[in-house]
Amino acid sequence: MNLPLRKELRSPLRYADYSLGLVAVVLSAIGVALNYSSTWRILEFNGQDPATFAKRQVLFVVIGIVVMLAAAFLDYRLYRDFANSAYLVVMLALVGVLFFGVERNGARAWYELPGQTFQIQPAEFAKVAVIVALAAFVANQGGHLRLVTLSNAYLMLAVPLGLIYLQPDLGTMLVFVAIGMGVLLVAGAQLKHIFVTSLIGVVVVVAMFNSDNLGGPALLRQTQEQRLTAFLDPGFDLLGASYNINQSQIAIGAGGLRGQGWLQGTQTNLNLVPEQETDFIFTALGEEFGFVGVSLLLLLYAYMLARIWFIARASNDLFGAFACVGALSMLTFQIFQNIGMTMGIMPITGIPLPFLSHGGSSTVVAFGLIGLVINVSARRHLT
Amino acid sequence: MAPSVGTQERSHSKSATHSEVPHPSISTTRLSSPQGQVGYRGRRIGLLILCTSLIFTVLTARLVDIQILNRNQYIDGINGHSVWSSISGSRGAILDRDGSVLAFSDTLPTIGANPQSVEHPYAVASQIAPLIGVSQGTLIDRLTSDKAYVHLKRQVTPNIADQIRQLGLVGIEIRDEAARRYPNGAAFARNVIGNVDVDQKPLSGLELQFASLLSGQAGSRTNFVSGTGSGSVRLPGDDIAFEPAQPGQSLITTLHAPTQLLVESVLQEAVAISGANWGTAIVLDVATGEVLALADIGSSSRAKQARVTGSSGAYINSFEPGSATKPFTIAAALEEGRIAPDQIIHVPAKYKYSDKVFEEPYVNEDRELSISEILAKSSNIGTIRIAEKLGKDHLYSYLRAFGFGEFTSGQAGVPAWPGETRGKLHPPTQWEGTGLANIAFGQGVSVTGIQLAAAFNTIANDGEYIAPSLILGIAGTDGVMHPISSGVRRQVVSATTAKTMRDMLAGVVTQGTGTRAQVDGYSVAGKTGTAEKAMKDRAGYSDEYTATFAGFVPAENPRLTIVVVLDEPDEHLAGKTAAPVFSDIATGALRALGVPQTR
Repeated sequence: MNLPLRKELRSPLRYADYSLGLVAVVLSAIGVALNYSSTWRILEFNGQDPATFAKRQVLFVVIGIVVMLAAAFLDYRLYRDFANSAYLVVMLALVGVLFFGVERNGARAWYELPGQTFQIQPAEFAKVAVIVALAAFVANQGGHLRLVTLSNAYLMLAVPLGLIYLQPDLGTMLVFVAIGMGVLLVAGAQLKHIFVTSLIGVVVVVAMFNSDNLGGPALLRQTQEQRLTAFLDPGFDLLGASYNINQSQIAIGAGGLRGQGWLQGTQTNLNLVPEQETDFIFTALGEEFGFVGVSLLLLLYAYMLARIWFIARASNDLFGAFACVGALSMLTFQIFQNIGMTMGIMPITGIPLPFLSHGGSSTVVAFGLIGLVINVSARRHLT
Repeated sequence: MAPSVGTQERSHSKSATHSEVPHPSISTTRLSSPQGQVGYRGRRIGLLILCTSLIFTVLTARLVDIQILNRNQYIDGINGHSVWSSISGSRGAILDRDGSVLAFSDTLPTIGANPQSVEHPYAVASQIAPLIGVSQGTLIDRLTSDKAYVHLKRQVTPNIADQIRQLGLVGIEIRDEAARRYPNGAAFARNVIGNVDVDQKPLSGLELQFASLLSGQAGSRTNFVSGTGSGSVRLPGDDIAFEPAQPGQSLITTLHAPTQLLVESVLQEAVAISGANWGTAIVLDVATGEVLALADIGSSSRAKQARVTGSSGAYINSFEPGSATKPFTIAAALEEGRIAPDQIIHVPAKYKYSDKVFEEPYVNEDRELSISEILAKSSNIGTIRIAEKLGKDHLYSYLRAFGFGEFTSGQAGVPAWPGETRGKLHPPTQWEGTGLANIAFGQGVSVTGIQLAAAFNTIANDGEYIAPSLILGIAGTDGVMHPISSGVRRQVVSATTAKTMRDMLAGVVTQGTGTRAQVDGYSVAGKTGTAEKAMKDRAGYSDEYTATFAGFVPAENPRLTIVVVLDEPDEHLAGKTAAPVFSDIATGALRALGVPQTR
């Protein structure tokens, strides 16, 4: 066996993990179907095209696939050279959105495109930028993170966290924390450092919650605090903050083993679950396709995450590995947080379910990340 | 497809070994490479996949819990979010005896707003305020509230709604809403018809008395709603259950709208001019006892105006009838044969009955008076002497038979009107020493306007008492009227006695105290009543009076019985205050009803 020869002769296309892209497309197809089922009735009732949301989501998926292909095509090692510039650009965009963005649900997190039909959420793109920049930074340390380096890495995370706190968007902040934890853990941060900084983080969060009780200004919006309180006490405020949790659990429970069938969900058709096409899309799947459908979804996600994990291990270099770990952390956390929230085991925060939730920025970013991972998989034999 | 994990790892480690020209800026150290700290990072990344597996296990466990194990607990929530609501049927109309509409239900525009979409509440308030007559401050409060809908002004005229619509204000909503309308104005016959509130809930009068008949059968619908309580919103989709409402039936009253209008305007003027607290005027159809007009006017001393009252004083206010009682005392004595129509009675100026000396007002000499003259000159002592011949028990039973102390439904204990007053007529066992004398000329008894009208109508109707009625019939949605059987009838005195009484009462108008009740072209019979009002806080009588004139036209063959009551007029003599009002009403009513002249 002449391994070097074989390796050199082979094109990266041969090693690319096409299954990842396929799973992503299948997931987004499920997403489009659920986008339709959770919105058609109310759209029809309002005299609009019942497929309005589904069609928009199809457009997002098509853009996402193009982005995925593009992200997979160029050698990912080039991204490393642009990592810092991309990081800067996205941070500027996060600053800009605080001034020029539009407010929705109490958060100033979106740029509105002319025509007001589409919005761009820079925080979604910041996830990719931070993953790439953080991976590039810690990869340069060669697998040893001294305290100073770790502090710099924390600083890279602190900037977007601070900017997103100002929007405010608690859920997205948690995603950045998850990315940081995942990458830094694997990148070789000492456990005692991680432990101490986690402790500090917990103290800061608790202090933020009680800042108004401690004599300072209220640092959390009331709705956020209520939602978290509702998570801890589901009987609290049944019409307000607890309403989402209860309705969404009813919907999932109603699905049972086999579900009520596509477009047949009672809770879904009656629009009883708020934000169902975005944050609570999982409830539509749960109600209409039941435990069987949900299990299939979880298997697809599990396959996707497992592949990313393997690719991270098999990566040709640390940068690719850490980038994959970042993607893995992000997707895992978002899946857990989103699905957990609909079932009442996580607090309600506005985090999209990757590939399923309605939304342009999150869909394109998810596809882009998968493109990056495919890129790493394709070039695992190259030097 | 990617190769299996094992081969991947092997081949990778080898390929790494063979990399000869590393990328200048990229470390060749790989996570799974034997170089560097493979075990160290391998454990870390293993930890990561362990976390992920754990997370998926937790999610699956929770799913099994919600979707399979405790599913029923969650499904129950679905049916918890439906709401049952009542749909009221369209309310029936109230008509007069000729079918002209007194009250009907229609839709009227209601001006509301969604404060969330009103961008400039101050500008909107200043534009709308003058149109709907609500103050700007109130409007701004409502337009800046955090509700999804607020009423600005309910049930305005279509004209106002059009003006507001033309302003094209964002966030202002104009909806049609069921509304009760009174085509002759809200005040017209309000004392009888009553009224409803803005939600068509009946408040008074016939609207209240016949509420269930007018409102029909309520339907219902059950719908899914988002959540419970006041914040819930009906969700799109079909009704879960729907029961249509049955429209209400229409009420045909005995009122004659033109006569009612006339009586109201005459009485309103009379109350205003006479300075009375309140006035009541009733016009009955003699043969049927149907109420053709029933006006109640109250005066507000502060506002210095007389208006139609909201409740029916004719059924509710009782007063001492005074001399208006005398015809019934005399009729009873005639019927019992205790006196003859042409009998002359000695009437002294002072007369001691029991332990009290009665004096004839304005008279100082003893007189010999016929029965007619006793009535025409309204002699108290003459009436006392007749009552003595009649006796307590007969006086009581005849007054009862004429309807004193009884509800005008003619049935014991059944009020003809919500809150009807029975008046006061104690049984003879409770009469004190001068009881017979007092009651004979109308002291110590009290009646309502409608009772007095029914009593006089008995004389007009050849001695037969007919319970006065307000309702002619009921019409369903088919428009066919189903008559309601007219009131209770009973013969109180003979037709002969009644005829004698009519002649005597005609004398009151031609040559007695009631000359001002005369009507051009018609003979009139009637009796004045000027009763001192009993003091409210102690025994005895005040110097305030109730002035009454009750009678019927034409005197020989009566068609209409009319009663006029004025409470505390400035000029207390009924012959000067109530009789002219009677004349005005009779003149107009006879003409409106087309009764041929008798003279």
